[in-house]
Amino acid sequence: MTHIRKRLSRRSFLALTGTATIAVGVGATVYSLQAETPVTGAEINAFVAITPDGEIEFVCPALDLGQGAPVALAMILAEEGGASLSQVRILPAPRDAARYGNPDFGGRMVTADSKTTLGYWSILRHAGAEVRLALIATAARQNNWRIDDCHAQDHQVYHGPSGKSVSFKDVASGGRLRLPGADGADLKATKDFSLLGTSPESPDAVAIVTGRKKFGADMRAEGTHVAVLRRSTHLGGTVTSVNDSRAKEIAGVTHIHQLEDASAIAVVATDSWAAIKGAKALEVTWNSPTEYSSKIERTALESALVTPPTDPVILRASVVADQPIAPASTFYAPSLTHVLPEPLNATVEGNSLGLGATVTSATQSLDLDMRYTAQTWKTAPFMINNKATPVGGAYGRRVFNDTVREAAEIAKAIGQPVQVIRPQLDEMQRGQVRPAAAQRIVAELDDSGNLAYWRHEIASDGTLATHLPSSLKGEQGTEDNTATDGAYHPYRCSQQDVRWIRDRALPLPGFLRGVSVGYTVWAIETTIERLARKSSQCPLEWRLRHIDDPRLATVLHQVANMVRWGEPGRNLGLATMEFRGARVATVAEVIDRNVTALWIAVDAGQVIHRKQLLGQIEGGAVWGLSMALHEGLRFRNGAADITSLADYPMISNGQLPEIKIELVEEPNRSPAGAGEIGIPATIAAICNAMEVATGDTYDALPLEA
Amino acid sequence: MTLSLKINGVTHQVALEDPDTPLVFVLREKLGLSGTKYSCLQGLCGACTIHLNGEAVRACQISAREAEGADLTTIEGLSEDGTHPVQQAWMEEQVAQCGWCQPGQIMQAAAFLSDAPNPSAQDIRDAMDGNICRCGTGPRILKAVARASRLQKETCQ
Ligand code: FES
Ligand code: FES
Repeated sequence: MTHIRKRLSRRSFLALTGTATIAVGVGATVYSLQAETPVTGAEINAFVAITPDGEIEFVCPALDLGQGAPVALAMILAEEGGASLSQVRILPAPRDAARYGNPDFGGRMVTADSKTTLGYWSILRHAGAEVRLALIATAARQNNWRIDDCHAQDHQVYHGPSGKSVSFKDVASGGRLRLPGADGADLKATKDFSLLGTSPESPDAVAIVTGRKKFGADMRAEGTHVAVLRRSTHLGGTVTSVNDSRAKEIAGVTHIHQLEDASAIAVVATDSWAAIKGAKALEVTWNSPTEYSSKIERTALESALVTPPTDPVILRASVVADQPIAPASTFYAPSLTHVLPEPLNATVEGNSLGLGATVTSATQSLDLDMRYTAQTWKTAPFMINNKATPVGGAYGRRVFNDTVREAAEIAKAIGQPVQVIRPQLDEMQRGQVRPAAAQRIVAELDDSGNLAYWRHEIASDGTLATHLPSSLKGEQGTEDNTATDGAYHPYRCSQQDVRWIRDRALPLPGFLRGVSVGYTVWAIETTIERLARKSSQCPLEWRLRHIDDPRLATVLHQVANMVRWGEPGRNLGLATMEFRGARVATVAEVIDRNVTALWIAVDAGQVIHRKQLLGQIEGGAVWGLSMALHEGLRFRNGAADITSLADYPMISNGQLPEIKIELVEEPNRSPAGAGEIGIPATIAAICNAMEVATGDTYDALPLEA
Repeated sequence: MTLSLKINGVTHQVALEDPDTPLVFVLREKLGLSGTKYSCLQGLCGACTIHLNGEAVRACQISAREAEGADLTTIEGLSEDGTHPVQQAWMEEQVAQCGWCQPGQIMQAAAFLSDAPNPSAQDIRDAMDGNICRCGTGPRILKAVARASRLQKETCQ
């Protein structure tokens, strides 16, 4: 029997029948209401169903961005459920935030911010326990066993006294499931975990290495056109006039559409190459660029530290008296661009009768895609049907996935389904950037060498503040945590003043792995290390003396052992932090101004998928290396100063130093977020090692004297 | 105009309005071989790497016309089922994160190893230096190439 769950769509259905506009198009897309969960088996709860074959269907709320979240979540469920991972099928959750939203994300369906495993850990353990108890209770009834004599493992229910077992398949096909539910006491003890902490092969491993894995940009239905937009190279460009006659002559070009806000002209064609050529062939006059440059931006940010243009957001304020103040250290982090592997893309197709639309996108958020489309299509949110495709690299860029807006406008204007593809260079020149930031730190030690005074000011634009101000946090509702993450350092200090000042930037802000934590931790840890060294104290001992968190102390000790900290004659730099529940300590070694090795000790709580976790940390470290040594998006004459990928230096495979990672593991801990934790301490440790090696101080990224 | 392209051992007659269409789009959109990816379209990232007469080339920089007459291999033709030593090594090291860059990385590694079956660590770094992985799988890529060279030798023995 096929059981299709329709909670939200039922609501939508009722709302719609009032106006009698339910229709099934003939020869057109079948009008589909929202939120059909794709399970076929008997439902155990919102996340799990079991088929008569005993297969577990897992309705996965996380999107496939390549960080492995769907597999990690399936492992949590399988562990608690007593299921074999190979018999868990991962099905994408529909857009239904009420059921599938991330509690750590204000209940939204967003896969980002290192919060997926963190946010769903408790829910999915609970969901898994319900599965296990349902199968045990049902098997007990079917076989006249006592429930307390049974346990479930490897997709079987075992009966202790008789030594007999029945498979999940036998249980599921043997009649109605009993659903006793579960509570906290039913969860497995972490010492009994057997799947968590292992490294099962990803279900798409073969598909990836054979080229069969399909991403958003690989999927375009018959009859869907492709659109490429021509934008000005300068920021804020709008069209003054356009001659599209050459573009129209290109075979395959079908439509030219200027966006309503005149920010771009779309060339729609039957294939990508025709659209790209067409966009290039447009002869456009743009408004004039501004004078904007990175220099102007840096000056503005630095003066915002002195004369804030907006009310500062106070993060810590315990300064009781003004101290005799040491000179401030300044830190500048430039704008960064994502260099997305898979081009941004989104497909929008109007539904029959033009009532709503179906959106398919390589995205990080079904919810936000829906909002963008509903606004552009000028319709109610429930009229928008959203689908996510696997994503070729996201790194935060596909949260505010503005490409769907363009696709919606164009599809509506031309009355045909269209996929917008945004070429990488256009995105680098005109897309979202990790905003630049200026920071200033004043810190002093007392006579015993302990931290006595700490003042840290950060000026930057805010990505949440720009796109989703309703998500701001803090007492006044003005804190953009994506601009303040990392500012809450772990060191004891009685007089502290930490604040963020928003200063709007011209480039559009966006999230990027380690948005602000990448530079706040750099400024903090560099300052700490300078204080310790200047007062002839060991930076490791100084830190250990100033922290209260035993888990942080453990990773510091661990990394010190790994690197044989204290050996004379080596240029070692240390950095540490807590972020999203993870404790990280990193040491970098520099020889002749080259980073030759990184050692990283991490306590990420409960390990879910070991190799994925290590891969996330290592990948973060590679970003950290790249940000510390190479990356910076410069602006000149109102435009990004790049004409090709070659103008944006990044670390390459051949330049990688050795990276050694060790995990600290203890029972009874929740998993920490892992997607960004490799970045911040890497940058700071490299800066510290460079300062030891060269005797210089560095006040800007990428590191320059 | 109709071009004849030999890809993964099969000759295809491809009708193209523009014979200068970069090969990557012909593969992906005319022949359904979407395993070949693209990112920069400028020859700078390696996502579109395929083999032309056994050599690694960038399919965004070669036009369909230029590819006529050559023997082309894409990721789909490297092996039927992922059993090429490079693909095996990639799975054993669990290299991929998002996977977008990996077909290009694998094609680059496979061409390199067929020319240099006993590479040094430095040879591997040099060979893989021009293929970008933004997810940061570079350290595992280097390990996987070394592993593939060992696997390749075992298979030959
Ligand atoms: S897409 Fe061909 S090298 Fe980048
Ligand atoms: S695996 Fe994502 S770009 Fe390489």
